[in-house]
Amino acid sequence: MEAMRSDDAGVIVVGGGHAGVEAAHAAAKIGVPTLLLTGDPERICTLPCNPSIGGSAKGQIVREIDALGGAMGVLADSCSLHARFLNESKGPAVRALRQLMDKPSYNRAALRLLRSLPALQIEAAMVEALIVVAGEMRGVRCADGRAFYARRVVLATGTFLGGKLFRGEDVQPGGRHAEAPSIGLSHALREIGFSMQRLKTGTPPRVARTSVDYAAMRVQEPSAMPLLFSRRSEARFVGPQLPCYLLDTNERTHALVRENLHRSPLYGLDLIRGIGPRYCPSIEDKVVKFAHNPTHQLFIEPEGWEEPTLYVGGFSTSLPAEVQVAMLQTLPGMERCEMLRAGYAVEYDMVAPTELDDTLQTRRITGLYHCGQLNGTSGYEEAAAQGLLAGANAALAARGREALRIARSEGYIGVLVDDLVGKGVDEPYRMMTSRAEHRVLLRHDNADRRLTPQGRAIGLVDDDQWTGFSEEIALLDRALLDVERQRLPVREIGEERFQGAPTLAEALRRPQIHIEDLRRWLPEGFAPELSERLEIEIKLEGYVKREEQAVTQAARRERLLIPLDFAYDRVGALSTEAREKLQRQRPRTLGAAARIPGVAPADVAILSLHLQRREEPSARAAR
Amino acid sequence: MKRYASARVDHLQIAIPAGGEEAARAFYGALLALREVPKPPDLRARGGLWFRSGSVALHLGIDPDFRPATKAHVALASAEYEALIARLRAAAVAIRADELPFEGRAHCYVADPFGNRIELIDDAPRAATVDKTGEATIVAVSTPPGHGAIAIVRTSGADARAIAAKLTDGAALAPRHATRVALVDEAGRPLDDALALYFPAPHSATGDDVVEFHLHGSPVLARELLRAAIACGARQAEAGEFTRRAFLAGKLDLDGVGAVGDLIAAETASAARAALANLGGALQARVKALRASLRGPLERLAASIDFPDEVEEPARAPLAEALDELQRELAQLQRDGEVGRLLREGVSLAIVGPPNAGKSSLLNGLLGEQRAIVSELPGTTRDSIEERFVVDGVAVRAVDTAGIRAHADRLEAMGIERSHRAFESARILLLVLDASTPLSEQAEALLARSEGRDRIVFFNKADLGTSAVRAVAGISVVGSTFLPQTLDELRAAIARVGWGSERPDLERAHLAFGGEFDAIARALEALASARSAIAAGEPLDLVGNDLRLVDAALARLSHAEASEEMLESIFARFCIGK
Repeated sequence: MEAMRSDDAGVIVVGGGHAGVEAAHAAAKIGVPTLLLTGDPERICTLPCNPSIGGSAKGQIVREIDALGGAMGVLADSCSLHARFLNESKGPAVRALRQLMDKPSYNRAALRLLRSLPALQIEAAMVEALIVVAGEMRGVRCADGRAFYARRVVLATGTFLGGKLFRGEDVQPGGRHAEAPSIGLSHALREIGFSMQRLKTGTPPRVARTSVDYAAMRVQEPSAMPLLFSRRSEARFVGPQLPCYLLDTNERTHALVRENLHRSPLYGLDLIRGIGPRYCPSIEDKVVKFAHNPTHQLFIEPEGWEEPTLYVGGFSTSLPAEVQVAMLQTLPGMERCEMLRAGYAVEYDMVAPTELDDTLQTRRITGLYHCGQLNGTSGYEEAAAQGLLAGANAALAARGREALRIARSEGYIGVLVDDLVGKGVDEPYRMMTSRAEHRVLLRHDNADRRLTPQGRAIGLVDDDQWTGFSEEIALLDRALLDVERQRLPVREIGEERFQGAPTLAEALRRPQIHIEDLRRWLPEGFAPELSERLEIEIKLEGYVKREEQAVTQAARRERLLIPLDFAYDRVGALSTEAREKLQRQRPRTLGAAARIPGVAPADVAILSLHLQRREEPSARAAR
Repeated sequence: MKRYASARVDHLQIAIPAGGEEAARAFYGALLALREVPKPPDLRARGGLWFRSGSVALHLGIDPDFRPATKAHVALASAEYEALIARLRAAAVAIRADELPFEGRAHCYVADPFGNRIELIDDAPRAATVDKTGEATIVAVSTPPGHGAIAIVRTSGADARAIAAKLTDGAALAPRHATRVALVDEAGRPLDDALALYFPAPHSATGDDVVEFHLHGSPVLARELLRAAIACGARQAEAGEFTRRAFLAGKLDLDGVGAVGDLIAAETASAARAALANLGGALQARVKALRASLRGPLERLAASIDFPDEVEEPARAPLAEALDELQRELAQLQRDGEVGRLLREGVSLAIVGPPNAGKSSLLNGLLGEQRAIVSELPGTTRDSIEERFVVDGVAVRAVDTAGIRAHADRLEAMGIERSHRAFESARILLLVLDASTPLSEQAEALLARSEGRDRIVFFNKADLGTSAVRAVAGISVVGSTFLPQTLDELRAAIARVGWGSERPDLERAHLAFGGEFDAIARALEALASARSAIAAGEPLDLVGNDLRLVDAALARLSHAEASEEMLESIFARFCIGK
């Protein structure tokens, strides 16, 4: 092993989006010297697409990032101009927080947070090449000829790799609006031999706030109470809370789309090769693929307290700018609207996430980590979650410590990583509750119970957060005991009648009874902000137990490790398809192997039998 | 859920008598190889010794009133347990072994030089650490199908011993010894005289508690025992499951692994072929249709959760109706599964009657070949014999029972007991009576006992006389076993009683394997849970959770992956996205 250079930075993070910022934050907070390289340090975390953070499944991810000691929850709380719980009536496990951001504040808050970390240094640089020696990371080289050295490099390049912007006939190289793409780095990754794919995404037009008439739209009010991602944030509104508005497209809008399809880079012009996300289709896609829908719902969201722009959600398009204006002006309340920025589609390179192990390190190059859209995901939250994991693992590796791994039963982050590295992607990957088989366990209310101890163990959860968590859990656990012991002194609450004297917990298990109904019998001094947690833990107890049993059953497989050098070709009984897939993806555990599509239960059984013979087949193979 | 202790254990104190330091140093330091650490100067005057191992300190303190601690003790876990024991043996320290392992690890007790009890635990790293909780107890017939000298039924899991207790009527089973037991079924009815072998965890083939039953080599008996074990709470093992558990417990002799692996593959492949041949894809098509009917509600639910602003929550009443419909369909599939089982396993027929009524000759006639030993001497047929013959494409599993007599020798008693058992459990009874002589007391008793069962009364030896023939409830046939037309009449009677003469439809969907019956049962259970959640007004996500279990169970039947498929379909059906 070569001696470490005196100018080794520890960890280098390339890219200043949500993934890069979270990675740099995690690495530096763990205490490893970290260098963040980004095109323009003033423009980190600009939220280039929608202004929202959180939402179904994503809200849980933000809570998980926060529980691990990450940045996103605290940052979002400090910029929230509209907050709302989604799925409130559908069940505690899927309840999720969504906030809208004041975009300029978010950018400033992120910068402020990073600058407060003594171990972190930020440099303006466009990375064009990787310095690799004998399969190990050594550093990066920039467009201007400078080189920075480190044995751990986290790539968080977003849509910038080979980025191309489309708007009608107009095709420009670019990573996003008014920013140049990175061509050299994409080339460098291809040369190393990484398997690359091309994806597409897009953003809708922005209109001037002063040019629309809200009276013609349906209003969506924000919560009257401050709703926060992080327990570390103060429970107060950081600024005025603004409403959002809903409206529908109409036949005239759709006619314009159809008339101009020949000018669409996606359809008529046929310029775009990348695969776009189905859950975030362009308005062109909606009109073509769902022609039977007479209207499509749109969302008008402010992008800041003072920002002149409104985000037109659901209206992502790459038609020519003048067509976009005409389309916007068919909408109710937008007849005289002024378009400040046209929507566009962006096509970019990604590296197949099956190139990664479950710590997000590439298998080809030791010390190289990939996160965010580079791995084929979409969404700020998904990017940030991977950033945290990649940054923390780069730092932990630099310290020679065990990596941070999150199981599918421990967090959406675990589901995300396992899906990515195990199955790969064929469209931009977005987290959804239906991807998580154990979602009863993965709730927004218990993210801290699930992950804060792990965050503490790796040095990402600081003393304040740890103390706050410990106190809250102690209080909650005491209350849980109390409601199991204390009996209800009345025979009926509202419509519900009881026989005998049930405990408070038994009463609470009735679907129609809520914690508010029991408020006056709760122990004195019980913090009201904990009552939601208490209610969820009691009401879900049966479902949680069933799920935990399922997890335990699966745990055997999850704990059986498959050696990296396992010789699948020596296992004659495996089906050809299974052997090929296993050889390519090299799952870390038997559980991960079982989840690979094409690996049948019989293959798993055979594999498990052969696992302990590892020495023998690989030795034979070597001969 | 995790709880956090506010204090950690800093040290443990053991009392030793005054002046015991040197003996203690020799035992704890030299023999147990604990590291001695100096006592702080201010405490040194009190005497005693301090040792440390990892994060825990062991303090030996002088007690002027010393009495040895023979119950309270310190347990030391050592990765070099074997070497440690050898050292102690060499130093003539008495070692009291404990056969019952501690959390699956070997352990023993010794006394220090002062009589204090010390426990030693084997802490050597094990090949695979496995979590035993939550795994079902499994059961399977582990001898190949067909007639062998013995049949072995094996059960493995936490409940294996409890299940064995039920099946042996509470017989005491000594570990690793063959115990002769009288096997009974879940209702206490006698099954067989058999041997039971109990292998307590972890020293068993799978690492779990294992009980093996060695019975007489009859497939009927083995199947009956399997059914009884399942009725007592075991689950039928899947192909290779014993081997998988053995491997996961780090128990398998790995030289043989390759062969076993190939065998599993072959078994699975032939099972798949069998399923395909049997069902012609009909089951797959039916499960597909069922999953499709579930997909509507499931997708709408998922979409309304993941895209709450765009997809409305499904209404409860139609959801409940859809689930009821699905429930009916699944129940029908389960019933058809029973028909499928009949097709595969045949219908059981017990040939009963007084001695020498011609039961064996009848069976031979139906088989068309000489099979059972026929003799003029009453009681020649000492054992129940199962034979198969085919009527209208359905296998009939016929058991020729030993003649049921009042007086029988010891050897024959067992056969007679089994005849009773066959009488009780057969789907169809074929009562053979001698038409030429007045009915004996026994014959009358059999007639009375079989009243109300699906039975055929056959008056045999009609060529010799018909004085005993009379009208009886159900179907009766008068004739003689050597007359072809009598045998045809009997075959027709079997078809009528067994499956209503109507030839079962082999093209319909049927469940083929134990795992499939399991899956359907699980689907029905989750469906019932979903239904009651709707009725109780639980939030829809919880209903969705149950529905996902239903879907997962059905997916197991159709070998597809649930979640990916569902997402595909959501995107195809709903226009979603901002």
